[in-house]
Amino acid sequence: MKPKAGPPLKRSALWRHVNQAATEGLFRLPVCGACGRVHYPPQEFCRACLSDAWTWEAVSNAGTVLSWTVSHASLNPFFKARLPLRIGSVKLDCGPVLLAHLAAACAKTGSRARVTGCPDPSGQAVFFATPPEDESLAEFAALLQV
Amino acid sequence: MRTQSYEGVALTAPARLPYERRSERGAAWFAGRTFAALATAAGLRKEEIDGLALASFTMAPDSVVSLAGQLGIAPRWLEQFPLGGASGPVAARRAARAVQAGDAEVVACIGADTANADSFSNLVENFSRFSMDAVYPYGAGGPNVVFALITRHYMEKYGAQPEDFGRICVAQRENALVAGAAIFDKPLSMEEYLQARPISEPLRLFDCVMPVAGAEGFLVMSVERAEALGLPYAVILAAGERHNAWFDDDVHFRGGWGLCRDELYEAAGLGPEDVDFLQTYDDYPVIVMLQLEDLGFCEKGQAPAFVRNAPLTWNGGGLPHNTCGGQLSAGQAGAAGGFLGTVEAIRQLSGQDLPNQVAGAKTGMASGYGMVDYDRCLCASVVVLGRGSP
Repeated sequence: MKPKAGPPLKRSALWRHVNQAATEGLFRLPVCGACGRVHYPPQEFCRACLSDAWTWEAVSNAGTVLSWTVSHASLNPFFKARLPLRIGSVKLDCGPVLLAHLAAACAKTGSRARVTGCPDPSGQAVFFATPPEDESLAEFAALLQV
Repeated sequence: MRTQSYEGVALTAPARLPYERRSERGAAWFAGRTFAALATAAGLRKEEIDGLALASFTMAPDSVVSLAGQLGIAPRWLEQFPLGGASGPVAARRAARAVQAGDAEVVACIGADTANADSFSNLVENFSRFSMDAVYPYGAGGPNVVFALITRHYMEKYGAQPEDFGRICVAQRENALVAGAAIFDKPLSMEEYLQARPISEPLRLFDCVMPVAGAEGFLVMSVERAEALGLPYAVILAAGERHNAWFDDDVHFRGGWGLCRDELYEAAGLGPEDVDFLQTYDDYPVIVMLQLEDLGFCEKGQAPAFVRNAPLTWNGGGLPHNTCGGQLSAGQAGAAGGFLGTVEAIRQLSGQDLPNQVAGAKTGMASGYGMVDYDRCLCASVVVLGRGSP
């Protein structure tokens, strides 16, 4: 099998909304029209009230780092060439937990962070967590180019 | 409503097909050879096995009915569990219900998977929709990344040290060397454990299971039938499964076992202190700790202290744990990994001549855990088994 040059391409159909928001430079997540619950990862109906009347709305991108890791292994050639990778889980103030590439300054449990979606070299949005005072993605440059 | 007892049902013919690091054979080969081994062990013609339960990740696009086709049998009861590491205890209890209800006389329960260069990355990339959207694109590290996050959180919340996880791994390797047939067949010292390279911090090499090809299986039938066939057997004293428990926890630190526990011990008529050995699902040592706590062997957060005080080796006089070495020694043969503990528990309780026989074992427990979906696994299962035959 030919090694893939870029990061993973495959996403569910719902991910197009995430891509659209990232392209516009916005942080939008599916919000339940019936009960207001915010979802991530996106799903087809509300896990609280089962309504399917969700809309994609701009929500706060602020959150707190729950846990983090530095990964030294990957199954994908694009990432293998970019190891090690720092990855964290961020509890968003609006509710859900989001996995993201994590800035070095956020590699501490309890750190405050902001998450930003940005298209990667495969054209799919991925999220980056940075300190609230510096949302620059400069330190992730290697992940944003082939 | 209380669950009904599993009285009258025998678990017998525990079987493992030797694991291989890589295989060019398909999953059906592993399942088919296991089925043949089960029939031979029981002295049954294949047609006499009228129930078939399968767990497999790599048999797709085929399913359990394709397997029946290839086996040349016409079963009247079929089941397939997409429950991964939870599938062994689930297979045991659901097949037992089929036998009790008369829906099947003899059920072959099989977990089987192959492994090749692409199978693991294909599996990880396509494991669930959430994984595809929101986990795999972050470094394609597979479950190691998810369980590294869970492990760090557990360490910070409860004060677990690297050595505490190491104790679990080192003791299991000791068990594996006695039991034999593990992929990792060299002793593991605490120093080697601690100095091993980082995989996804804080996880080190020996915290992670090696994907392998292999299969595990057992037969479920009535006690009368097992005795007529002259087969040693174990019985189910209690069983439970609970899925997506505690789904609002921001980080996974407890599983569905805790929600099964009270009913489990009440049905079995015993407590954790009466359990002679425990086979947990050991995809990562932190998950072993969750099971020790949620199954009542210690309080929540106390597993690090528990493993410091109780020897976990098969003959250490503490709590014999993962007595054949578990997946951390044997490798993870896909869904067969969900059967490994149940099969070893049956083996320990059915009067076999084992080099790692837990002396005087009358009661054992096997728990399962499976199906990582975003930031945790969703499935938890457990069986309490007793020695059925003299």
